[in-house]
Amino acid sequence: MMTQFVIRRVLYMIPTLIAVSIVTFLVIQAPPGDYLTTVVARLEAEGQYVDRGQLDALRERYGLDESVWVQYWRWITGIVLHGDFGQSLVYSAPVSDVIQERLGLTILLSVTTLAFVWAVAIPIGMYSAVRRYSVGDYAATFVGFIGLAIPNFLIALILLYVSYRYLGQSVGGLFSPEFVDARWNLGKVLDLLAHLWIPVVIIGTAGTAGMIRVVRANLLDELNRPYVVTARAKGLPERRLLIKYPSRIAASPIVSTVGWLLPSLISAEIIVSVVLSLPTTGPVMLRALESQDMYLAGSFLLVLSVLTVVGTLISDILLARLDPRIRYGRR
Amino acid sequence: MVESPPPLLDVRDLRTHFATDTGMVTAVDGASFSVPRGKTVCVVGESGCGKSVTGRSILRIVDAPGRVVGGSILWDRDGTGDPVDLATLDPGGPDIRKIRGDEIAMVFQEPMTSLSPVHTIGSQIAESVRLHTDLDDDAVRGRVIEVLGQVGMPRPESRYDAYTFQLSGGMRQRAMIAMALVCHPRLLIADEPTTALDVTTQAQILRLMVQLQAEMDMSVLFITHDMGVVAQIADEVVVMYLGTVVETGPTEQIFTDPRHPYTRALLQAIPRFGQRRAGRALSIIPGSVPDPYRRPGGCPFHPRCAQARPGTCDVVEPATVTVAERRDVRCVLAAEEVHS
Repeated sequence: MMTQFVIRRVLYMIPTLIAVSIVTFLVIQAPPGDYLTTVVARLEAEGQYVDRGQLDALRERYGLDESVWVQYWRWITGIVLHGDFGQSLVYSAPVSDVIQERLGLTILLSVTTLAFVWAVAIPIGMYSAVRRYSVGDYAATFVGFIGLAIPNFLIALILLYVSYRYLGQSVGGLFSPEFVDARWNLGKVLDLLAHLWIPVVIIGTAGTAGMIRVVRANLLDELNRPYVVTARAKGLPERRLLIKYPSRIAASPIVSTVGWLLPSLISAEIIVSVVLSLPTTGPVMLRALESQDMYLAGSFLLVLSVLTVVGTLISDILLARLDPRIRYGRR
Repeated sequence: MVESPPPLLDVRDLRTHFATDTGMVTAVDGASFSVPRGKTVCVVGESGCGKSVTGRSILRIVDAPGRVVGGSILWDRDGTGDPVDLATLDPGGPDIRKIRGDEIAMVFQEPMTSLSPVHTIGSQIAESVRLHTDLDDDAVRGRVIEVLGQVGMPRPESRYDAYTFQLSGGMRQRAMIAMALVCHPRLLIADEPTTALDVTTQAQILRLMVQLQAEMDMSVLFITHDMGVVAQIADEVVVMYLGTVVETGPTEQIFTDPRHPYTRALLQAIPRFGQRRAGRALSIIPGSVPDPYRRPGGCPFHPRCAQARPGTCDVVEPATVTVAERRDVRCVLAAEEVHS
């Protein structure tokens, strides 16, 4: 039953991904002129010599004289078959080179943040629900609303100031200066971990605050359900009861947020990364959008969309594991 | 006169109150009754009279902010005359948990919502066995399948892995009953177990419960508002009104010789075949159960009572008088009869 569900769900992903890639391509095609006109305009503005032969080669490669659909086909087959995302004009390098290292760090940052959000929000939310209107609940609610209300970049600036002024630690970036260009080794990993917590806390604060409210509300909904009373009437201890029954059912709406939490973390990361000058995708994405770097921006859009689709897939599979009604549901 | 053995359960002057933001709700306000060994006692009354809260108070599973604030619930499992007072136990403590599901089990009204939708019925029933016995996994599974068979679940081996949404209403309630009976309780509290079912299924479930009670030699406290059900299964009846017990007695006597005006009114409100053709309208009890925040003074039933006497019934709470063996009435009229 479960295997069938997963296979079906993965097959459904394919048309979604195709549609997403088409929309992304149309978006990067939307500005007037094509990629090469932008390149030529820039080169000429800088008074540089424009090599006709090189231009024609590029024109040929991306099929810029062909119809939109042919261009799309070349673009997408380039990505799928050769991992070729096109040229970035801002960085004058292949997009894949620009993205690669940064994307890894971004995913690391996002996944760590997600883990942080859950690890903090779920226990606090559960406590808030079980001890509703207690001092602890009010405290969690208060801190939660503050976390929701303060913009990310402000927290980033405050933390920057505090840690520089009082801790004497430089918080910009993910690495200490001596490790930035170093090869990966244990020292670099430890250095990364020492820097990682600051952006994780900053990006995760709003999510944590929101998640506390979601967990609390969902669990409150379930706590007084008749099945909880039934389990209590069996003689089950309260703590085991809480974990096994209401929490399991209250978990479904939380798990279903994985899908949209991932992209929202990545977009929250953009602002924070600019403020903290992190070597992640955020600042590059911003720069690509500002300077109409079509292939770079488009690649980001595509990667973000794919992440969303994959996130939804993961959350759907988890939901089906949690709730047999979904597993056995009508197709 | 032969000394009768002490009752299995003896509830004395039970008080369960709900402290809400808008005031104190006295859901159960001095209820007294007892459940003899091996008998079925029906608790009857209109909605909101405190029947369910009484049942839950016994197991100490009243939902917050409800609390048992007074009285005693004497549980004498072995008839030693040395009972445990459940009312004094910590509702979250290990002592009451050992009794729940093992010595006293409960069946609820709505099997769909009273069972977890995301666990198989087998695992939910097995949980009870694991909590109260040391059986290994295979023995637990065997015990669950056995009890599923006992409650008339067809193909119990394969139903072990079924979820509630894959079963019909009647089958769900059977699973619920199996869950209650799996540890052989001495007392089964059934809180309107047939109300959510259609009439045919109702009859099947009632028959099953009567049969199982005889087989397992347990007592049943059956909470219902349906006098028809009472007539079918009860040995004794406890009539409740607004958190108090107004009359108790053997079923036959309650039906043939009701002493309390409320009991009489309840009995008259049972629809009878051919009633409409005979030109008699269905009699109803005038008014409705009062607002729980504003309980009438004196006898709680006096505003709706045809025989209420101003100056007495609205001032003094009537005393409970014993009119015969195991036959108590809480009404001034009955008190006068006894004294004259």
